[in-house]
Amino acid sequence: MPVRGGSENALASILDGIDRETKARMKGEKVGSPPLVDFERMVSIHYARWVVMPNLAGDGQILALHAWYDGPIGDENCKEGVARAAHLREWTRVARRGLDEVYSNCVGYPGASAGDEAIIMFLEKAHISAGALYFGSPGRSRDQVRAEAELADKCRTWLDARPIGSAPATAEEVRAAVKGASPPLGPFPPQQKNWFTLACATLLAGPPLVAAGIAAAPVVTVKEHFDQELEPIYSEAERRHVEETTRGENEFFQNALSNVVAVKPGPFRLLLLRVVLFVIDTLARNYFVDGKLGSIPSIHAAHWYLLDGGKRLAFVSNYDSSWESYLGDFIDQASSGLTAVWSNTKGYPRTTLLLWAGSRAGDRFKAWSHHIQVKTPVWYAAYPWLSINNVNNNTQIRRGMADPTLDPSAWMGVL
Amino acid sequence: MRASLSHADLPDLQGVLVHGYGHLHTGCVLLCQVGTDRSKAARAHLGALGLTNVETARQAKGEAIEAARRKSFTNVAFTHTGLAALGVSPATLDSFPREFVEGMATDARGRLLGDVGPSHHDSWQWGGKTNPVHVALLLYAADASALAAHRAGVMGAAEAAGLRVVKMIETVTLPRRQEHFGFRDGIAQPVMKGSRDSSPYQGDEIAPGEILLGHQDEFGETSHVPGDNAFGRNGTYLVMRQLEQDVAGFWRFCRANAEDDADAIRLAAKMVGRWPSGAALARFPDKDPGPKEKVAHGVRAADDNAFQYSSDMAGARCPLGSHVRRSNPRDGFAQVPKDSLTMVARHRMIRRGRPYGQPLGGEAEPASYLKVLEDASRFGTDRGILFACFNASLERQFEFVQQQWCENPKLAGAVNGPDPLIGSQRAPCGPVGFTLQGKAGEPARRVLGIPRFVTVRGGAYLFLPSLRAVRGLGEG
Repeated sequence: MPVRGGSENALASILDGIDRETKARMKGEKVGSPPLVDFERMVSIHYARWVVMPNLAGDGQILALHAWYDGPIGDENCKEGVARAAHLREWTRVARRGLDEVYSNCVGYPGASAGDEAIIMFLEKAHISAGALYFGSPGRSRDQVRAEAELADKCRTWLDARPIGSAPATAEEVRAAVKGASPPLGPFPPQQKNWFTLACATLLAGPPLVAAGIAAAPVVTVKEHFDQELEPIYSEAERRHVEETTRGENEFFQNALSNVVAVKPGPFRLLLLRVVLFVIDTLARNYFVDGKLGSIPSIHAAHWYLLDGGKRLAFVSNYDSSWESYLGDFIDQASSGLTAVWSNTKGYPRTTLLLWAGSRAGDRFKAWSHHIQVKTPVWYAAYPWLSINNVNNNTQIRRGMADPTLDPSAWMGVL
Repeated sequence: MRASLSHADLPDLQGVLVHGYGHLHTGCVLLCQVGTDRSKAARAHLGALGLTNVETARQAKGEAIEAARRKSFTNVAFTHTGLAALGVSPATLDSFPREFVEGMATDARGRLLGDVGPSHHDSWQWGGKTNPVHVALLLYAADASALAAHRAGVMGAAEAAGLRVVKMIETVTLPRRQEHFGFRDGIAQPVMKGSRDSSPYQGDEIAPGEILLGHQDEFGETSHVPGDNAFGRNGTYLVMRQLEQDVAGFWRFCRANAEDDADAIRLAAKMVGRWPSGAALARFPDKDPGPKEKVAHGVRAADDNAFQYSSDMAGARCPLGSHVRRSNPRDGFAQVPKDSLTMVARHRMIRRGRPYGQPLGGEAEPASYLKVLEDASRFGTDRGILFACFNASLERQFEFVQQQWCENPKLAGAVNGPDPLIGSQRAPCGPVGFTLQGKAGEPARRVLGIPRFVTVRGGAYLFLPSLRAVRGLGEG
């Protein structure tokens, strides 16, 4: 949503207030009055944030609301549109006052006196679908993640209390000592690689992609030669930009990254980018379903969006541990998937055939990434102290607790 | 193919970068501030300091102790505020990376490094906002009297030139090169390719650009040079931290979670990742083979450094969260051992830390620590390590290892298991525990309620320039 000219400061202070209330609750601090936006009461939300970024022309601000949400409980496999409608209804039901306060600073908001349906329409109209979407722990509701963590903790507490020098507990002993999870949980997530879809996609899209790739390689090489890469900027202004965009980091184990970058001009790059996003999206939904995107083990969720008709690319992610380690993962693992996406955007370190080099130029890659990072004035995570590894291990433990036929080595070791 | 350090560059490096002066058992660090309006005099003085280069340091190493006794050595490094106080140009000051400009003492960096609670920079004895340090002089000498003489000379001249010594830390050498908890230290040590005549353990050789500025790093990229080449090339960043060690607390905790003294030493070894003798748990999971020199040939291979983790990926021998394994995971971090080594080589540092303070109870030995736990308080608490390491990127090397590997409570799938030895032991996500992985199909054992054994008493990020740059400082 475009922010109304002159309202930037008012909006910033409202968002700041929401963020403070939200973080205090995430830390478990006692807060008196009911919060403006009570994320806790929106059960569909795993992670949410408001991001403020410059508009395309650079003469105003855009406010973007971003949430990772579930479909209605009991109807997990519903269509995306149905899930979104239910999610938006939850927003107006729980946080209508907050929406009014925030969006009264934006162009086109129906106003505090308008009915909820008008507000939902307003939000729905601004909806942008993800170009590619990855989720590190698919198939589990927020409450299921929390309940599984509780169950795993109960098991560990029982194990911890055993006297020094005790023989290792067996799976039967743990099952007998720790009774099942409460409250009752939904179905176990499928968490299986979807080989059928992958095979179909490979058969259909594979040969043309390979052929097109071979044909395009010389063009790409020439274009890469003329790519302008962003050299690291050592200046007070850049240090201030980094300090401002990273200010809220490392208060929890999870952190948020939001960035926006211009796509390299011309239809060729945009087409390339769309193809790459399609491939990543297909892989992420069907293959990378057990907590690792490629070789990177620290991402809870990641979304890429094309903005402004393909002129800009936004990346929104929730990750474990610090920015430095997250970006360090990108560099160390020289992830060609990520390089494939960003090699089509301005200033990215020079690549070789779009997939290689790039992020290996560590200093330039980090400087570029800091440079395009935008502020995340409000950030909420429903379980900010769980790593993605924890979430998936806890599910494994719950399976082991529920199913005596499961091999103990599949879950006892992660207790 | 990694690049090698050229012989033309070697004489331009300060000696401590290549040689740790291990044959000189006493040392001291003088932390100084530049007096107001004294930048000219201070620069002239520092430019004319008799610094050691790699060659003189190397020669000294081979000399007989009698000759060594007559020699003492000085190295010098500067903080960003120090360079500013000495009148280095704003353009040069601006060209340093953010972490060096901001320094170690910020709240954001404190959250990253675990410098919170009692380790917060507000409580530091030096290097904090109210007691910043500008210049560090690193002195080494053969014994106490040689050091005293050397120090008197250096201090006299420094103070005459307007440098005020705000803190002095004397370092010691404990028997068998131990640190205060009672474990042999400094075994794994990266070496820049081409910096030595003798070839080090293969896994410890790294590209010069991992340490030196203006050289190629492990990925073939040239490390960033602040200022021009005359100023920045062949320099490096020095991380210095005074880490107080609660030796009594450490052994009390181990004893309380063990069946007997031997079991306490076993638990301590599991937390460290090495036995007190320095033997690696990855090779000797059940029992300390004892000091290397006492073991017959063939029982222990040549070096306590020659081992890997890939045959112990589950951590049944050496726990995944033990201190040495997390600070240098060798080939055991990624599923493919070769990838792991490539990755780990990007996060190594040359370590030059030394202990300070007297050993608890007078004798540096775990068995004797365990005997004096009852009335340990009479031996005081002022002991620890003056941690010092060199790296080309503070963020990618020191900060990454400290934060992502040591402080990280989630390493190896843990719920809340930071480094048991040096972690800040924050407990926002349940009780702090150290996990001892079991055999396949067995649950791990967690040791809970680990207190903080190491407290930061001071620290700074420093720039250790080339000898040419130090001379240039005096001329400019």
